[in-house]
Amino acid sequence: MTGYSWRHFDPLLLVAALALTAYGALVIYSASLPRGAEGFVLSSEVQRHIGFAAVGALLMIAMTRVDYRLIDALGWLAYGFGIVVLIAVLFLGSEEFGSRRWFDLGFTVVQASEIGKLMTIIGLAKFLTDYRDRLQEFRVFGASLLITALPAALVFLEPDAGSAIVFVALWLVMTAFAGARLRHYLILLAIGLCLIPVGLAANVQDYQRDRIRAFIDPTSDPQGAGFNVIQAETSVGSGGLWGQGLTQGTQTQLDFVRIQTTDFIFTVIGEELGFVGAMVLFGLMILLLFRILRVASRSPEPLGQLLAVGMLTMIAVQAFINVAINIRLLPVTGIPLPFISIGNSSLLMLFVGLGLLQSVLAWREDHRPRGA
Amino acid sequence: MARLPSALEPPAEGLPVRLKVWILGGLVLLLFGILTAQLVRLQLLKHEEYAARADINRVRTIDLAPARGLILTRDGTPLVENEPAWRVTLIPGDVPDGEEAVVAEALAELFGTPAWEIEQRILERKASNDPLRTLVISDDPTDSAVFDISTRQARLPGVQVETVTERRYRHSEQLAHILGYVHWITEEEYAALADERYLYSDKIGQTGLEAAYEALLRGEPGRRQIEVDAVGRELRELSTETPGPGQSLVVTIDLELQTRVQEILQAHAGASHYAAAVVLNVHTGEVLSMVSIPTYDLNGFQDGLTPEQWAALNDADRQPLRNHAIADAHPPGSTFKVITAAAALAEGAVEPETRIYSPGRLVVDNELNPGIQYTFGDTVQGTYDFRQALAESSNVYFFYLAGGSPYRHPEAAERHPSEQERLDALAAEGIVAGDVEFDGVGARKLAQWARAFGFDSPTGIDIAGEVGGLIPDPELKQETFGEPWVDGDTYNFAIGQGFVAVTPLQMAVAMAAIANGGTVYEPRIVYEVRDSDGNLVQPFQPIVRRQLEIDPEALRVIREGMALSTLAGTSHDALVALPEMMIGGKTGTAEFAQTGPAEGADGAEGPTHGWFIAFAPFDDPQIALAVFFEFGAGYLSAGAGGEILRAWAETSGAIEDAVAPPYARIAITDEENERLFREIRARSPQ
Repeated sequence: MTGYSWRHFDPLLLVAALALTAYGALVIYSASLPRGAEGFVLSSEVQRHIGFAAVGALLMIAMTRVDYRLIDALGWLAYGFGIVVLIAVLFLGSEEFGSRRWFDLGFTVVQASEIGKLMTIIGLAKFLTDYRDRLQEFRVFGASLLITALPAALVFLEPDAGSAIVFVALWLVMTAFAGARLRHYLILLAIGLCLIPVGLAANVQDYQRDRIRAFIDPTSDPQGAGFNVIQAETSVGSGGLWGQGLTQGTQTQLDFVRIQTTDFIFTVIGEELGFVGAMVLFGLMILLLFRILRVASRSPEPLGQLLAVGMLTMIAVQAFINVAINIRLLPVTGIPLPFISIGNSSLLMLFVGLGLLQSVLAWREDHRPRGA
Repeated sequence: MARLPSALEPPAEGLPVRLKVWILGGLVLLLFGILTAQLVRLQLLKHEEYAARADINRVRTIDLAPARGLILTRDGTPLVENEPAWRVTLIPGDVPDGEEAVVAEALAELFGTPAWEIEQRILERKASNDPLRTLVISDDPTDSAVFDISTRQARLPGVQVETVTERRYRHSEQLAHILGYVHWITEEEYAALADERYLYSDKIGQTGLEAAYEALLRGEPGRRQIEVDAVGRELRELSTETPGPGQSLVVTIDLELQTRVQEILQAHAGASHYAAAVVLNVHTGEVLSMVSIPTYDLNGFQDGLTPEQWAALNDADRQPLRNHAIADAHPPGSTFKVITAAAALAEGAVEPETRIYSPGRLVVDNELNPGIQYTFGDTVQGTYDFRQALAESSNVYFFYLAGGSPYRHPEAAERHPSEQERLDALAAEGIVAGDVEFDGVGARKLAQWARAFGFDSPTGIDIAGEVGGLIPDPELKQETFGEPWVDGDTYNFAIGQGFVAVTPLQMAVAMAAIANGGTVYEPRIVYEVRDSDGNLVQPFQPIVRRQLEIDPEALRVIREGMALSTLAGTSHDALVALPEMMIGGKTGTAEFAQTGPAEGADGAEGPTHGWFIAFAPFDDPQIALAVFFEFGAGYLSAGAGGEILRAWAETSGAIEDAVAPPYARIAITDEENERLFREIRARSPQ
């Protein structure tokens, strides 16, 4: 049998994603609640989050119908598109907080790095599939690095060091999954270690240095960069087991934590929904990630597996880094919490990516021996 | 469908896909495990700590200063009030980094303080561990400065105009030493009073009643707890504890009398750098008037002082800030003879009729070498009984009373026959003269009595800054100077010279005890305490320190001697000032700047202090008075004292019922003396 089959559509993947998005909407509702609001006020942020989630779900279902194997033909095109977007944003993007990360389309903004991440997963998956027999060669291994390093560097130039780290993680996990040699990593590591001091001196922005210093000792500048770190930690800690109750957290509602609908959204969960709320989030995340892993294990061929591994890495690493920053395990860098944080581009790309994985499930029949 | 080549072949080598998937699954669990572990720590183990921190964020406590208590006279005239005032402060923590210089510049323009100084203070406080503590920029901003700041608030981050209250003293110059002043609490005081909930915006009493009754006047601070957002905006009130206003003091001081006493002292000051007077109610110890000149304006401390004013306040000779009525102890001179008199009568060393002859001086032989003699001078010469001795202030009489007859060396040269003859003739008449044996009361007993009258320790008056003075005794001299007590010390002691040092207030308290029949009161300036609504909290209660164990008759005799002093003795100038009323008084002209204790009293050649103590009216003593002039003389002080007694008699209305004293002049005949004694005796109360 050739073609597409709904039988293999994974409803749990969709449900987990939608549940996370709904959870996000709930938290954004609380975080964006106007001061002194009476009753139920749906801010525009919440409405858009729900709206884009709906669009995302439709895109996911639509993607299922597209044969993911088109990537074999169009993979480089997709990758190229990603690179063009990342270059374009450096010149055409709107500047905010000292960095150019977004295209302002009027009705919404598009974050270039979100497109870049998905396109890089596709490009890298295509490359590693094509050259999987020669990955043992250092040249090929090096080429895979360059494929990732190009978009990573562009993102770093925006500057957006946080997203750049995600690219590194993507490359690391995907190449390892594809079977790269340990020795090659060690060689690269050695070279990298030699270059680090040069790179740091040249490229680390002042604000990044401040953030690192603030992480190491937040009290050194309690009103500046360290302020949010301390307040985020206080918020989460004050939540306790059950939390203060949705919309009841004083830290959240009185604006003690900044950027609460994006990078520091986890503090809202921590404060208002407590440890239990965090465990619900983690549970949903783990459910989603395991359904993605299921795609990898079900796909009989590397392209599908690598796409799943790429998506897994992207979501898991972002979630981990985001939460870790919120609870003072890592220095501050701007990374959204997948499905939860406000971010239209992020949300859409996540659903598109998951749609791609549904496609992997749906279109795998072909490779099985008939009747197997 | 597109032809998909190589891509669809299974991987050639490496770990099995299933294993790799398991590893990835494990990594996912590990990542979330790490996060969970940290959450357990933050949310479950250290939850309390973070919850408390969140509360500190959210809840801001605003201390509410209580209204300080008022001070009033008995008829309800306010002596100090609280006036609203402005104060410009700055919260360094609210000044954004980099804007310190701009803010300092703007403030410098308004207040004339150098900009660099303000900037430095801001930066220092910001660097400290308490950057939110306010800095005071100006205690006394002009109205236009306040207006400027309020209109330019947005460009002066951290600067605020606070409403505070200021103490405004009425009759400040008359009452400066009694009321005292307050100042903004200092860092040291704040630290020392940490347990008493003082606020940085508090003022604290420094002198006088403001200091002594600080705890009552201050009241209980209140506090408001409000919920604030991240930028400090108030959202709602969580709780309010209203401040409890301080209690009000009603003073015993008679404002009119106080004013007149001050005028009198100033009029008589002459060459004196300073002077003091105290008027007590002899039956209660209430201080009706207590004046120390020079005085100063209490409000000056609030309004700011010029360098010249500041220099004047710190004048080393005049010491205007000092309450000379309680803070200085000086030798009392002859006013102390009333104490010697009381001790001698009480101990039976003398009878009122005892007559002693003064040859104008007393000569004491050195015990080892009869060739060496010590001479103790007298200002008068003749034979005196007890009352006359007080009236004329015979030194020799009181030398005998305290130290007994002078030591005469067995090998001393014979007296001139004519002198010896005269002494023998006096002795034959029963008059104590020469070295005829006479036992005085002795230095130890005299010291005991002096202390019983309240000398040698603070009287316990209810304002700050009192000293205790000094009453010597043989042990004290031995301890202090390593020298034994000699007879000469007793003679000096007897007339209030030598080591003796007393305050005008102590003198007045002792005078009151003599006038009231032997009760030593603790003098009071606060009559009663009322709450802020005027309800009585603490009524007046006289405090008796001691009841002297002395026959009232002895005190009566002393009073008679003092009456005689005004009628026909050294205190005559007091009578001249108040001829309508019969009074009793005693002058003192105390030498100071002596080089050694044994050389005193041989003629008043060195500088002297003038003293006068008195009571009035003689028939029914109501008040006791002590007047002191640095660089003065006793008879001059008596003049000023008489005027003070007149001021009291007039303001109290006592003059209406006054009965004039009998006619007198310096008595020359025994008959005249007899008549005078009888008339005094007839009016002398028990």
